Amino acid sequence: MSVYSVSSRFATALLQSASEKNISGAVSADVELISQTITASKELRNLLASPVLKESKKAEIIEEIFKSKVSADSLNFLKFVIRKNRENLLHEILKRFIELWNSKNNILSAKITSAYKLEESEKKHIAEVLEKYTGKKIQSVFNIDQKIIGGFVLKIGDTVIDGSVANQLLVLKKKLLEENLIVN
Amino acid sequence: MAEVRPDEVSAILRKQLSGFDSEIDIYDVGTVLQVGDGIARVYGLSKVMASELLEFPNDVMGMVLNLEEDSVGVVLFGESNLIKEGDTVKRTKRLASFPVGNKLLGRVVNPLGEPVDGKGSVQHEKYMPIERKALGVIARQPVKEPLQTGITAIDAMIPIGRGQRELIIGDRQTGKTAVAVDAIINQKYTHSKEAKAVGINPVFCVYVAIGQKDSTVAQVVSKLDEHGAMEYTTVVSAPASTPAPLQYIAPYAGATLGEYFRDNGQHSLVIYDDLSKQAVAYRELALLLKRPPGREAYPGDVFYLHSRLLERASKLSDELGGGSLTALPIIETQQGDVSAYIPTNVISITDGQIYLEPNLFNSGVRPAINVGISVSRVGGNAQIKAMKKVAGSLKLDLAQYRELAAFAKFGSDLDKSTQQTLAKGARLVELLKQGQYAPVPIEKQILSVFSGTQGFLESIPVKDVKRFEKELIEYLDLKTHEIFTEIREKKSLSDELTEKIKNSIGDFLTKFKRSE
Repeated sequence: MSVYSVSSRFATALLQSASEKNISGAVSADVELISQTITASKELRNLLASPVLKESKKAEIIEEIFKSKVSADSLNFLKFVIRKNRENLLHEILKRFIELWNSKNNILSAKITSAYKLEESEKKHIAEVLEKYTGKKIQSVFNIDQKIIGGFVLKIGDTVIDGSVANQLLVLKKKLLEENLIVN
Repeated sequence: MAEVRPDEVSAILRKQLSGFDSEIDIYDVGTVLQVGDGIARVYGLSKVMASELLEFPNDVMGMVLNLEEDSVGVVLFGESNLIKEGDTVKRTKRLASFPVGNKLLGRVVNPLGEPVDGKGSVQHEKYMPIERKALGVIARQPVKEPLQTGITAIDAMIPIGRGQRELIIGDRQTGKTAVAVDAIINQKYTHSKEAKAVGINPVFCVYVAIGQKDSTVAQVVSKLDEHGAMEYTTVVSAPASTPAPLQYIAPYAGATLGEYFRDNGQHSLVIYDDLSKQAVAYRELALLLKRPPGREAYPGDVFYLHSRLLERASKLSDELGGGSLTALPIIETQQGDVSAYIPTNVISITDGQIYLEPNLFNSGVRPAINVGISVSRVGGNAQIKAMKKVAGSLKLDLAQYRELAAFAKFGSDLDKSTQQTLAKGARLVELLKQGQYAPVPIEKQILSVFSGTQGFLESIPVKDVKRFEKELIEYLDLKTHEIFTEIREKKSLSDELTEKIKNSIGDFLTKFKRSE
């Protein structure tokens, strides 16, 4: 089975059982936290991927890390994944969970890149416009990339709304090449 | 030296940029997960369509072939080493398409419509998708006009009609391409004023070269050019050095151009040279895309690969303009094995086949057509009445000859009628021999077949038959030119005309000098 279908299956199961127990909000916050921890720590990623360590040892370490930070149900889920020898897919599973959670709650995550740091009011304005445009709640992540020169690049799902100066220059270049501009 | 004034430059720039608006660009993207062997797996692109074109970095284009649960399988039309894992892929929202228009005639282009003949950019009318659904029953009508190949053996016994699909099959080095190229050269006549006067519409040709040597393609192009055939021909070239995806789409691109002429009420002839190489290219793609292999490691849909291509050949109904697309696919067999997977598939799809045999080729019978097993399933309507009349007994005579020739090898004492059949057969075989790049107009074909089937050759030694035929045609052309004109115009042989022809040939027979 592909990575995608395995992780989907685990994520769906987690979401369903959490919904049944009415703790999905808490679980999703936990998942967010665990996912961020995995992204941040290379050591943790290595640990999860390592085929050398025994599963009991892995479970112990995971419990040690997250015991006081997440709910018992979330911790149980982590142990369950380890017992099923799918800990190498844990990060994928958590990502899928967040996707499912977002689509269930009508949330879209948007990535907004700008050349310079945006003012809070600007950020708020962008989020408002996007919410109006998509009809969904927007969870935005902001980052800065000087390479786009000016303007901004917005990424929602697979769709990119590109208003950067860099892209405009690229389009201009293509257009000039296409028209076979010959100055004689 | 001419001076470039700065204000001139800026004026031109301003003009060029007047249409440029700096609006916000919205596009869909994905990320390359894996790349290699001309295949890329892309994550994302959630709304992408099958066979949509994608834009990779470094101006490499790709086409979506596989839509999977979590990724998209893309075949690349360029170098895969220009693409790295993690690169961004943009959707174009455009299906793979090919430029069409009259300006493509005389050009050599690749399957994406980019010129490869060094004659500058290709002017086109519009782009049309390379994969189009074949027309249904209502839009068609039975094949009714002949498409003359200029090869006597074919036009007399295996007639091809406009809108037909006739397979040319044979081993390597048996003259398959030669038959196809002759057919293209013979269409020159249809573009002439005389043809227009007798109601023959011009035929535009597309020659699709798949997986061939670049030198072979160059040779074909120069031969076509030499005979003035490039004026009405486009060559779509996907030589062996091009990536497999381009070889795979080449015939569809050619068919698209053919359909452009067909849909405008004109006539087109598309030659796919050859489909066995295209099947091999498709097998390569399919295996790399991890589609399960079947017989001879071809994927399960290799039949559909060829059937959907050849179904696009058609004769349109009169309401739709009555245009036609004739397809001449070529298949190369290995050691004469026609029961291999691809040959059987294509034989069953087409409306007949022309078999070329190495034995015949080597014994000097050229074109090396085995008329015994070659057929054309469209039948009578693809021939003009005059040819139907004279060629009626030709096939039978040849069949009898072949049967007896096999026996005659053993026995020495043969009765008179057997000897007669053998003598006639040998002369007919000789009569059907024909040089390359020398197509014969239909009215001249009729005359030579007539002289053969009516027994005028009996007194001519076998080695003189070709000379007799040549001199007979020259003689008739000088003395009684009206015979040719009448056949061309009336397209049938009246009793009167038959009598006249008989007399003229009889006259010539008395004057013909047999060699010692």
